Amino acid sequence: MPTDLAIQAKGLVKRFGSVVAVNGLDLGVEPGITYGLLGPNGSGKTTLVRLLLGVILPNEGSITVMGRRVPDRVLRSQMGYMPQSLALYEDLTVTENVSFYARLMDAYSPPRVEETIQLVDMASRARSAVSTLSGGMKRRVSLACALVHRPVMLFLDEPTVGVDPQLRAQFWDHFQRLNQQGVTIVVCTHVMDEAERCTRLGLLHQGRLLAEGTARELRARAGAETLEEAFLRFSSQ
Amino acid sequence: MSHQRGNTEKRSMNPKRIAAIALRIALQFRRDHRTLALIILAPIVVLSLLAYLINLRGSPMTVGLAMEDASPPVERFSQELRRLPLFNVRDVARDQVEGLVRSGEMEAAVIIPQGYALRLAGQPGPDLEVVVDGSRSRTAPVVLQGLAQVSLRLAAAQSGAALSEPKVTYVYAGPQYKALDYFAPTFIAFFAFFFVYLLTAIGFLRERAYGTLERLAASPLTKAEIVLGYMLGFGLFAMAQAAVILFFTVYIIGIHYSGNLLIVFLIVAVLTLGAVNMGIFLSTFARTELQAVQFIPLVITPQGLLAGIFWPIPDMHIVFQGIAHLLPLTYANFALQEVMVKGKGVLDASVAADLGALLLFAAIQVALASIGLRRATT
Repeated sequence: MPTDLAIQAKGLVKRFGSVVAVNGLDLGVEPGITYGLLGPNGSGKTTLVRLLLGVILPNEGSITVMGRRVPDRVLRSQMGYMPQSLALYEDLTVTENVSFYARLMDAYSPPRVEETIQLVDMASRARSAVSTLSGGMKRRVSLACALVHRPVMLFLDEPTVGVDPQLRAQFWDHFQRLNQQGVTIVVCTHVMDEAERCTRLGLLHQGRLLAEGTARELRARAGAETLEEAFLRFSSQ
Repeated sequence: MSHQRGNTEKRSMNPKRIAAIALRIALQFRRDHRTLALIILAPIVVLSLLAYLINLRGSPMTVGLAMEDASPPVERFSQELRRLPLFNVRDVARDQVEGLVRSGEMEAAVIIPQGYALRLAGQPGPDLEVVVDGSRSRTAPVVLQGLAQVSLRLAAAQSGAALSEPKVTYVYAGPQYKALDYFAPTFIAFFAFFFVYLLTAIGFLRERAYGTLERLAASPLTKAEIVLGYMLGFGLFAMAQAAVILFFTVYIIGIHYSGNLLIVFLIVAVLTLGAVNMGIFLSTFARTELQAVQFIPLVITPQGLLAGIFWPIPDMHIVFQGIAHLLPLTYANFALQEVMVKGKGVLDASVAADLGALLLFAAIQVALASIGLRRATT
């Protein structure tokens, strides 16, 4: 593995009681790419992201993000996180939610908050309470909360769940623009057409990394026409 | 016709559908062991406590007796007084009386002045003197009731001797204090504790349920910062609430008080620190808002019953006295009574000790809240 990796994890094990959620996993993510964690529900994607963020600690193994050992408080101010749940305060407005997270990250300024809300195309509803928004709009606000402090690394846990195809395409276009700006993105998904848009993919199954590479490489290695087929072949091996 | 039938069908009750709802609720309860346990445990705990407290017999009141007249009629008077089950009579000297009542060593004292035998014989003479701790609502009425009983017994025995109206001196508070004046300080503490606990527990539970706690855990926030932020946010509202309760009780209801209201705020503030952190800690054991509310009969009700608001703690069994001294509301109640009824300051030893106990409780709750936070985020 190259030493200038944005994320480097070695021998990761995470147990919850008798359940082994992550089982001896090694991972390397290059900077400025979108790395997709692909796997079915319960494969360990969310646990892996929480480990990489330092929200939970591994039972075994080590993680280095941007050269710093996780968990690291300085690192957290440079990372953005969009959890699977919306993680918004429903009784606050869009602006109040985004401002709150900006303040937590010590990055608050009214123009920056406004700009971030515009970025996710929510300027017209900036003063609306989140509880009055549609599911797709809430997802956009949730993304704005993860982006407001201009993170250099972004963790997205199934960011397009319940989002219509048009908005999903907008999200992915935006992720690509962030990549161009040098932001490294780790995204959990089990949607195959989204996985195709990732720079590299890691196929997770029962807490293990089955295979790793670009979508084309994975298809070729498995001798499969689609990623879904490739995934099924890898998991049956 | 078919349209009519359609309407009838819509409105008719289907027992199967009703049973389906009832069955679903039963299934949910069966799997929610915590709720089931609380449904059974909470009424048993609360009813047992109530049954015990309602049947509680008051312990005899310690009353000093300063005898300055040793004549036989006065001796009989003192013997009758000592015979009353209401009192535990201790002999004292006149110059000790105020100090002993002020320190709380005795609730009241009766001074029988020189020449009182004349009064007992129905002739002009000095009045009986009574010194009472007015900070306790029961003291003056019970002492006067006891003296009236003595008078009646003597009157029956001697045919004619009647007790003159004693001269009553109050060490604290005074005859103008009514029952509400004694209860008001405890209400301030109870409401502050109850609402702050409830708001924090539910607020924090929502933080977990909506996933915002997860995002906070991924931010540079430390656990101490989260706890302090919650304390500050809810503490401000608790202070506002205390101000409303104080304003209403003092200026609208018109209760009597004799201390510095700023000290009352200080006591409520320290109590609130504990309540916020207890709310955070206990909310980590609840999965739903219903479960957080269900802690009330186990956490709040016993405090209301055992904190000395309705029943004096010294009258309780030693076990309940021990429990009462573990409860923050007991110390808040003591401190607020000392300040609002006795007019004591923050430097007074008893107020300082109560504040210290509240601070210790808050510190323990901060530690527990931090552990709870770790549990909730991992």
